[in-house]
Amino acid sequence: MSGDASREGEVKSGTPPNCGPILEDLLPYFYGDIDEKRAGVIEDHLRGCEPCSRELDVLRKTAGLLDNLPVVEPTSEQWATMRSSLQAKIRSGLLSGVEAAPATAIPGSLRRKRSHLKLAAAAAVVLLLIGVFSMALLTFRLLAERNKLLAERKMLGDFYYENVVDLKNHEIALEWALYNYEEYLKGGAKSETEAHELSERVRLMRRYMVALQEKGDRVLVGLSQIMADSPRSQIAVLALRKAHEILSRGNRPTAETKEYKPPEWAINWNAQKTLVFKADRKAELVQLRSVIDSSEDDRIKAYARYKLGESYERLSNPEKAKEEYERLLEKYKENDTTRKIVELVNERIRRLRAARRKP
Amino acid sequence: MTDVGSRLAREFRSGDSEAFENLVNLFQERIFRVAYRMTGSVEDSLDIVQECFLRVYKNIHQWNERSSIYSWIYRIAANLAVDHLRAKVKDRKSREGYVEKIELEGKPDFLDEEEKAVRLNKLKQVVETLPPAQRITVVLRHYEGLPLKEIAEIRGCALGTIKSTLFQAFRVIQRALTEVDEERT
Repeated sequence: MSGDASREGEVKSGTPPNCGPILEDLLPYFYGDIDEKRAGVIEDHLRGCEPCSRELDVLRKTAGLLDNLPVVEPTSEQWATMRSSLQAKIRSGLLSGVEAAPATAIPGSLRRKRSHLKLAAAAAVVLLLIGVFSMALLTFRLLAERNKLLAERKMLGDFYYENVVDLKNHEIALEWALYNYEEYLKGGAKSETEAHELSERVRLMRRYMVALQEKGDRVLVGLSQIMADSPRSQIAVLALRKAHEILSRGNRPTAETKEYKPPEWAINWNAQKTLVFKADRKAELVQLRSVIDSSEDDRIKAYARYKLGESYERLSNPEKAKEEYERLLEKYKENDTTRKIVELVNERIRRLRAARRKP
Repeated sequence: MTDVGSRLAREFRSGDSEAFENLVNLFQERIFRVAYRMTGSVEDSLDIVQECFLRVYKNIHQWNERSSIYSWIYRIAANLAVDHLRAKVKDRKSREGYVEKIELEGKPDFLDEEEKAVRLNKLKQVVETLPPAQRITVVLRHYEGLPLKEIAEIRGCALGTIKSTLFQAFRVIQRALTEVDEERT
């Protein structure tokens, strides 16, 4: 408030009294931050007021000079260093969370042993030899207990991985791998290497999607949008594959294209579903309709309807098609396959544990 | 870009760590520019960018979607940059360390260019001595092109305060440039 008051005083000196409110809005006017009505009032005023016009001129010149102040860009190495340091900090934060988990998971026994540890240390002051011996013994016991916990976690991680392998050649493997990896990062009991290896597919797909968006090609942008609309789904995989086909025809090769190899299971995907992406001009109508009629997958049906609406926007109602597509997509989300798989795997873990308990 | 940012932020919040990477890709350069305009140092600015995204990572659940993600990230970056500058201002020696002269390439052939260089140097010095609150307002409005209303949201101030702060900053700059002109005549 005091700033406003001092400004008013400053503004009013050397300018006609009715210029104050105008000068107050001169910067917002210059930057286009006021509504048209107010801008009109200011322009009317400026036409008849030389001091205010001069003031605007000074603002323009100052702003013009400000434009000349350079920004030094970091080198690519500096960017890379910053990013890797950021990653390291994030990871170290996460790992410390992982490390903290077992300690809190067995608080009673560990706390008791830690108090023993303190007692042993105190005893060592009195009886050095016995104390050292006790401490060593206790440390070994604590380490053994910790290793047992880690081994159990590793076993569990391996078990999750086996389940992912079982589900290979299926899109659920992708979802499952991603789920596992994310759970691992959150500090869950998973095997990092395996989860990471499997999540590579998902990562590659995402990165590829970003690369497609950057290329700005109309078709590629469309396909990348499809991937963004239904991430971690068959549709995304198909769209990715189609984009790869386009890119690998040779006219738009990129480093990403060379790096990307579509997985076998994506190549051998149901031919009927690929029709959506092979659809072309007139044949599209027939093909899309055949997909709508014959597909058992709600998402594919919905997408085909959406595509149909888009292609024949003059014939059909694209908005309605889009709505339907989104509605069906929501419906699909309710039946989350990942959740079902989690239940399945948990059941199998329970059975495995029960079997191991038996002599 | 804003929509993409919000989508990525939502994906990241629901556990997609890849989305975080893309979010950094999307905003890192803009945040760097803001930080650089505030600090004048590449190293300090990269530190601010890193700290900013570290905070985004840790506090993404605090983003309530009432503001756009870029407003939220800008707010973090602006606060970091202002804090950084305040700390620097306390240490005058180090602040003087990064006041560098702007050199025109080659010798100035015309008086105009020499004058321009003098004015630019003065401008740079003035901008660097602006109070942090004024400086961040100039950076966000002039260089980042954010509307005043949005800057008010980012800075957590009333619109009037932002208008007034920007006005004062321009006044300081103009006065300094006038002094240069008077010295030369």
